[in-house]
Amino acid sequence: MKTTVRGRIALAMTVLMVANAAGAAFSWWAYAEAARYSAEARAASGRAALASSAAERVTAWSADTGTLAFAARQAKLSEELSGTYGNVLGSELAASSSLRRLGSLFPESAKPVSDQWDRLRLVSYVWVNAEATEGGTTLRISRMPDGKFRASVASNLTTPTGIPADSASLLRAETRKEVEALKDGTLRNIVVASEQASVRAVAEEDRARLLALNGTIAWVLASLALAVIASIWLYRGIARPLAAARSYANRVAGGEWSAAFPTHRSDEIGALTHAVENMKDAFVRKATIMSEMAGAVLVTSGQVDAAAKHAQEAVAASGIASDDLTQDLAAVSAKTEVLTGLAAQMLED
Amino acid sequence: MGSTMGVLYDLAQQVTGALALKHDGDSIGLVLAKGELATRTGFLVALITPSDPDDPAKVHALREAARDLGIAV
Repeated sequence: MKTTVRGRIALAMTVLMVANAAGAAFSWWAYAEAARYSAEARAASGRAALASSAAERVTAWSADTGTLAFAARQAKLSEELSGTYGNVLGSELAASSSLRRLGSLFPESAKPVSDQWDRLRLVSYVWVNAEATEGGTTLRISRMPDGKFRASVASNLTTPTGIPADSASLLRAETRKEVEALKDGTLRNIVVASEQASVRAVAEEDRARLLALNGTIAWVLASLALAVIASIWLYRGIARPLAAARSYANRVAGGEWSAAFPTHRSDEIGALTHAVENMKDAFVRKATIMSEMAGAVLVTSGQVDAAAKHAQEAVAASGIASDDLTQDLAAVSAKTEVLTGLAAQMLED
Repeated sequence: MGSTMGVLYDLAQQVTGALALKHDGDSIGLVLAKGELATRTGFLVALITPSDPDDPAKVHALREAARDLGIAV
């Protein structure tokens, strides 16, 4: 592939930047996945804790309701019944609150839990009313228009379908069954499902973190490998041709005028070597001309010197006394000798 | 007939090549021979380029000078 030096550098930089950006994006995605699973694990743990807490509060309410039922059966004083009823009211409020929160966090179980809790309270309070009837106590629990169960002197509660009779003992057994169904059935299932979801989420979080770590290491190694490959590619495409061009320029500078650059590349380095070769050719031509000119000067000055000496001899032989002519011819001879010496010095250099 | 090009240049190359062979290893002798050629022809042979017209006087002068220097062309 023929590319310019700028193209090579730009391509290498682009490849490295894209590789680094892809690595960073992958790491970001993997760590984001880990964070998402971490949040899921925390949410599942929270649901499990809330379901456990709701189960405990249902148990506390159940115990308070049982205490109220036995107090009603034993015809306790109204102050004592009132205190016990207060406990039931408080524990019912706490249990209802827990179950509502659980329903908001676990929507798919909100309706069944709410229905079960409503039925449990209905059966339990019918049982309390039955115990009060058998004990001769005036306490009755009734459902208010807003749906809440409150103490009253008359009850509007009716035995839920499926309960054979208004028998206190049967109702007590049914109450226990309903409590177990809610506490050990539904709520326990929510706890187990939430804990399993939490375990799964933790495992997924671990997997995502490991993937992020391994992925990051792999991308770092891949980036290093790419950097090495890019360096080699740039060295072969830029540094090595530049070294060859420098070597060629040094040969020319050393007087190797016949040196020729083997091949000129089609990029900026090729343009440089081409320019160096053109410069060398121009120098060679100028040097050839100067050399020839120096040769001509040498030859001419030698001829002039010989002619001057011959003229001096002729003047001396003729017996004509002419100091001026003799001095002029001697000066010409001396100057041509100087000129010859200078040209010889230039050629020897 | 128009003026031609290349004959003078080729002759100059032939003569300088023969001089270089004759004075191989004697750079001063080669310079003096080229100087002798220049003084005899009246022009610098190194300045002749392929695009120079074939001046018959220059061609003749170059042939004569080469012959005087012992170069057969």
